[in-house]
Order: sequence, then C-alpha cells, then structure tokens
Amino acid sequence: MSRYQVYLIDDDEAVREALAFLLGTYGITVETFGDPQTFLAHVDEGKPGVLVVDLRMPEVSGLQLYQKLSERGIDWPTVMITGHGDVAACRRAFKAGIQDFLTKPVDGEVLVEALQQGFASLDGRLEKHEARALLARLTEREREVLDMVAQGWASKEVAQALDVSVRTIDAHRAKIAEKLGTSSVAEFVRLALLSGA
Amino acid sequence: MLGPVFSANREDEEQQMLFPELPVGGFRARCVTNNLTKSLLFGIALWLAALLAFALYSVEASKARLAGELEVTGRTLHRLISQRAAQHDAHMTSLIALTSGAEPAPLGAVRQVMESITRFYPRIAWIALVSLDGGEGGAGPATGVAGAGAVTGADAGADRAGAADVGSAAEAGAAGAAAEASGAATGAAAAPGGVRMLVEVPEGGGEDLAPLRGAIGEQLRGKIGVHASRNGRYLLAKRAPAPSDAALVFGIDAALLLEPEERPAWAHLRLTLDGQELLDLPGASGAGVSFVTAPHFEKVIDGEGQKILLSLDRALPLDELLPLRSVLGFAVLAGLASFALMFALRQRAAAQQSQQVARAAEARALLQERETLLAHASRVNAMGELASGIAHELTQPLTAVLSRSQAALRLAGAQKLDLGLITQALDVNVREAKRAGEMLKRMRDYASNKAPEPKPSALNGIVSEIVALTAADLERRGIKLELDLSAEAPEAVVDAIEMEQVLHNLIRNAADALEGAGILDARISIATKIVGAEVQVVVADNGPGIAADVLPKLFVPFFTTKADGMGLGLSLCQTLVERVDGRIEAGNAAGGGARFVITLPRVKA
Repeated sequence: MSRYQVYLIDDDEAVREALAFLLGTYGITVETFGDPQTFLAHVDEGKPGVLVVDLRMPEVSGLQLYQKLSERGIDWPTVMITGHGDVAACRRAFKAGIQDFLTKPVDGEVLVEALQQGFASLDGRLEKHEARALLARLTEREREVLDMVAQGWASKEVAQALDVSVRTIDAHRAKIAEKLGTSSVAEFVRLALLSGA
Repeated sequence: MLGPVFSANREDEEQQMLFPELPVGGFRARCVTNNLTKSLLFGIALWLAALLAFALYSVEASKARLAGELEVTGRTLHRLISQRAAQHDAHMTSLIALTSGAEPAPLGAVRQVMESITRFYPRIAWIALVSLDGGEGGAGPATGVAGAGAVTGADAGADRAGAADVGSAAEAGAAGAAAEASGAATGAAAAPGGVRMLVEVPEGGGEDLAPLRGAIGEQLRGKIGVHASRNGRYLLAKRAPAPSDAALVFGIDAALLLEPEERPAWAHLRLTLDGQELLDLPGASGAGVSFVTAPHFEKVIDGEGQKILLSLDRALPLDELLPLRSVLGFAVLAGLASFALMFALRQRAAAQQSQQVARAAEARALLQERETLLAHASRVNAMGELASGIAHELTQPLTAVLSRSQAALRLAGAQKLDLGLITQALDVNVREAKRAGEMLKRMRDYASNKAPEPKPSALNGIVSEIVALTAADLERRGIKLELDLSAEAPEAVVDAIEMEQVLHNLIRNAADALEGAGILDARISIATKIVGAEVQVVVADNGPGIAADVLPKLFVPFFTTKADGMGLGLSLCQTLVERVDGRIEAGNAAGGGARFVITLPRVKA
C-alpha cells in the first residue's frame, strides 16, 4: 500500500517481530534490524523509508544512529520509541530533528499515524531533493537569474541589475528552462522555494 | 596476576559494632571452664576445712570427755578415800572408848582389837596406844603412862592445871620429869621424849613419836590430828577423853588407801600432806601434747583433819585427743561429701555451660535473623535503584503483547479471517506475557522476605538471574557486561537470592566506580570457575581499582567511600558469604580495576 517501507531497529526481537506483524496488517512493509551497526552497513540511500528506532540500545543508541545517518546525508523521517518517557531524552531527540517520540508500549494506531506523517514528509523531502538536484545543474549565473525571475523581476530589470544585455538574460532563461524542463515562472518559483526550504 | 589481596577476618568485636547489645559466646565458655577447675579446688578446700574443723572439735570433745572422766574418777577416789578416812575415825573412836571405859585399861583386849583391825585393814599399818605423860598423880603406875620429857611434861602439866598460872605448871612439869626418871628406873618401856608406849601392833613397827609429843598433846580431845611420817605413811592421832592422858596413834600406809584395781592407770595420782608427798603414782599414759591444757583434779580428803590433798593429772596424748580411726573415718566421709558436692557443682557448671551454649546459639540465631533483615532491607533498597531498568525490561514484552493484540484484533475484524495469523499472534502474546511474568517473579523473589535456605545451587544460574535484573540499568549507564560462565556448571550450597544480592552489590560498586571515574568503554566482567574443591565467582571491572589505604577497611561495617553510602554493602556481602562457609577477597587486577573473588566449597553436581 505504502510507497515507502519502514526500517525498524530495536534490540529486542519480540518487539521487532510484534511491531512488524502489526504494521504488516496495515499493509506497511517493515525491514527489521537487531542493532544500529547492521542497519548502517545495510542502508541504501536509494531506498528511502521511515525509521522506527529504539532509543536505548547497547553500543549505539537510537540518537547516535540518527546522527550518523545525518552525517551520511540520510535525513529520513525518524520515529523514536523508548521504554522511558524521559523528558530530557525527548527534548534531545526533537532538537536533533526527529519526527516523533513514542513511549512503549506503543499503540498501533498512534504509530501508524506517525508513520503516515513520515511518509508524507518523505514525499515532500523527495520533491525538495528533486528541486535541489535540478537547481544544482544550473551555473552560478543561471541560478542568480532564476532567483531574480522567481522574485518577479522582468528580463529587462534583471539585465539592468546585472549590467548585461536583455538578450543575454533571455539566453540564460532559455538555458534554465531547458535544464529545469519548464519555462513556467510559477514552476521556477516553486522549485526555488523547495530548494531553499 | 593479582594485586595485594585483603581478606578481613571478622571478629566478635565487629559483630558487636553492628549489634552492640548481643553477648559474645566465646568469653562465657571460657568462664565456664574456669568454673569447673574452681569446683575441684573448692571441693579440696572444703574437705581440708572440714578435716580441720573435725580435728578441732575432736580435740575439744576428747579433752572435755577425758577431763570429765578425770573428774568422775577423782570424785570416786575422793569418796573412797574419804569413806576409808571415816573408818579410821570410827576405829579410833571405838578403840579410845575401849581403853577409857575401864580402869585399868584392858590392854589385852585392846591389843586383840588392834590386831584384828590391822589384819582386816592392811592400810592401817600400825596402831599404838601411848601414854603422853606418866607424871599425873591420879593415873598411877598401873595406868602405865609415865616418862614424859621435860617439855612434854610441862605441856601435860598445863593440861592438868587447867586455868592455873604458868609458874605452877612449870613446877608440875619438873615433877613429871622426876616421875619419868623413876619410871625408867622401874624398867617399863619408855618412849623417848616422854611418850610411853602402852600397846602397839605390830610390835616395833611404829614410829618415833617423841618429836610429835607436843603436837599430839596440843590436839583437842576427840579430834583427830594428822601428822607426817616417812615412807609414804602418815599418822593419825587422837587423845582419849579427860582425864586420861592416853592417845591412840594409827600409822596409815597411804599407798594402801586405794586398792590396786581402784587406781586409774591413765592418771597421775598424788596424795600430799601439807605439801609433803605421801603417794605418787605416775600412771601409764604417754606423753601429753603441749598445746592443750591437761585436766587436773584436786580435792582435800574429808576427815583425816582435812589435811590430805588428792590430786589427779591426766596427760593428753595425741592419739587420745585425735583417735586415728575416727579421724580416718571422718576423712573418708568428708571426702565423699566433698566429692558429692563438687560433683553437684560440676553438674551445675555443666548445666550452666549448656545453658550458655544455648544462649550463645540463641544470640547467633538473633544475629542471623538481623543480618537477614538487613539483607532484605538492602535488597528492597537496591530494588528502587533497579526499578527504571526493570520497567524497561517489562516494557519490552508489554510492547510486543500490545502490538500483537492490536494486530490480532485487526485480523479478526478483516473480511477474510486468517486464523493462522491470529493464532500466531496469540501464541507470541502468551510467550511474551510469560516473559513479563518471569521478570516480575525475579523481582519479587529478589525483594522477598523469606528466610534464607541454602541448598545446592548452580552459580551460572545465579549469575544469569542477577544479570537479568541489572542489565537494563547497566545498559542505560553505558556499562558493558561480559560473562564468562564455566561450562562445568559449578555448584555450591548457597541461598540463591542472597548470593544474587552479593553479586548485585559487587556489580553496583563496580558500576558506581566506573561512572564516578568517567571511564570510556566501561566494562564489568563476571566469571564462574572451579578451582580444585572450590568454586569461584569473580567480579572485575576496568575502573580505577581500590586505593591501598581503603583496601584493609573495605569489609569493615560503616566504612564507605561513597558520599551517600551506608558502608554496609561489603560488610553484608562478607556476612552472607561466610554464612555459607565461603570467603570474599578484594584486590586489584594486574591490568587495573577492582577484582572481587567469592570462593565457596564446591558441591559436585
């Protein structure tokens, strides 16, 4: 059902199996890992998903795993689950940017709801990534021009501001439209906003 | 391998520190042993004292008895002699009467009577009838009294003259002397000194009465005079009534006053007359002891002019004061009595001892009970520290149960019922609920207040239990636990819960030390192993180790290095381990870090 899968990392096997079983009834695919190291060795950037991580695990904690993933540029939505409703740990987790913080025993519906938010967030993140990837193809000058156009500047105004001819600006805009696959100003604005967010 | 190892020997004093009001058993036992020795000495002393008392009593009693005997014998002899003296008096009186009844005196009859008297009474050795003065006119030669000396003549003259003056009496004396001279001329027997013998029995067995002439002459008529003589003999003299100038004299053999059988062989008997010895019978009793005053009896004989003194002395020889047989008999009896008393005392001491042993056992039981209470309180306290870890441990199965149950509900609500999946979900639920139950049981057991019950237990199992209770807490504190459990499954007779508590204390101390020192890669290792006839559990950490000055005081109650510590943890560990005949040693591992070794006697599985 879901476009994404869930990566579940918990050192307790019973918890892993039970949550996977439950999420299975919702049609959510779950891949389980007994410890963060295995996951880190296994993770594929090309297969994004929502992470469900036990906060307290031997060797590497859930938060440390999150940070390690971030270092590798993987910022998938993460739901932290913990046996302790520890306020300090909760604050640290949110500060680090995790999506949600649930205490065990985890209610199935609450978890699924959190996951769905994660999926949505993942959708948004994908667009942003796409926008960034598109914009990354632009030269510095083209990016400058795009930002100005997105702010509603006419070609003439841009040419004046950059002290070049209008024709040159038009040539840039043609290049930009080619690279982004659209000549719509509205689309330019959206992409610029996404990449900037 | 090991650094310096310190193993504390717990003394009574330390127990006293924990529970000062408890008595110490060993000291009392030593006292009881002394009591036993004392009772022996006491028995001997008592016996000797009894012997001494008996000896004193025996001496006093014997002395009193012997003195009483002497007194009785003395009185008897006195009575006998006095009776015999009275007989002398009677004989004299009758003889006097015989001589003075007729004129002239029937000397033949007198002699006969005298002879019969001396025959019947050998003590009356000699009887004489004498005339004191022949110079008296009225008497005439027929009376046969004549020849008194000048001095006795003067005396007689004075008698005759009555109240006449001295001068005429002297003249009369001179006349008497003349008459004596004439009497001598007639050839009659004339005693020297003016005493003329009339009759004497036996003939010539008498005394020279001349020196006594004056003394006899001075006697009152009818009264007996007593006069000293020689050879244990004394004289009794009695004058005839006036106007006769005759006098009767008895010579009494003092030795014969008593029959041989009447004389006590055991006493020194003496008869004295005016201090002059008449009779001295030393008796046959041996030499007396010097420390007791010997009994003495003396009494003047009645009659005989009250001049004869009877005295009896009795020596007190030791064998009579302390008769050997009775002393020996008493010694045996007193010995038996002392022995019986000593035996009774010993019995009492033994009873006291067993009572003290029982009391010591009671005290030990009380101490053990308190230690058990302390151990329990300490476990309950530790339970609080573990609570968060245990909650985590309980959360896991609960999470699994909740998730599975919700999944099962969803499956049950689905259009197409997949009973296989539902069953699977419920199976796991049962397993997880049991897992939670086990955790709760472990907690409950650990915090339980049941009496310790040492029995053969697998040490690996005990280690696993306490690890299950503490793992979550250690994990949270970032401390890794390494187990190295012997494959030989060592067993020892212990109470599993108390042994878990000992391990928990060691684990907790190690964790506190690791945390306090901020050790990265903090590790606690627990190993079980078999070493000969013993089994060991070794708890080691890679912390800072134990300081040298702390090591000797480690097991002392109330010694602590923790700011909020009571200092009872290790002392309690030691108590619990020693209670099951084990020992606990602390030291530092060669690679650093503290190392505690619990050694217990091995039980072969």
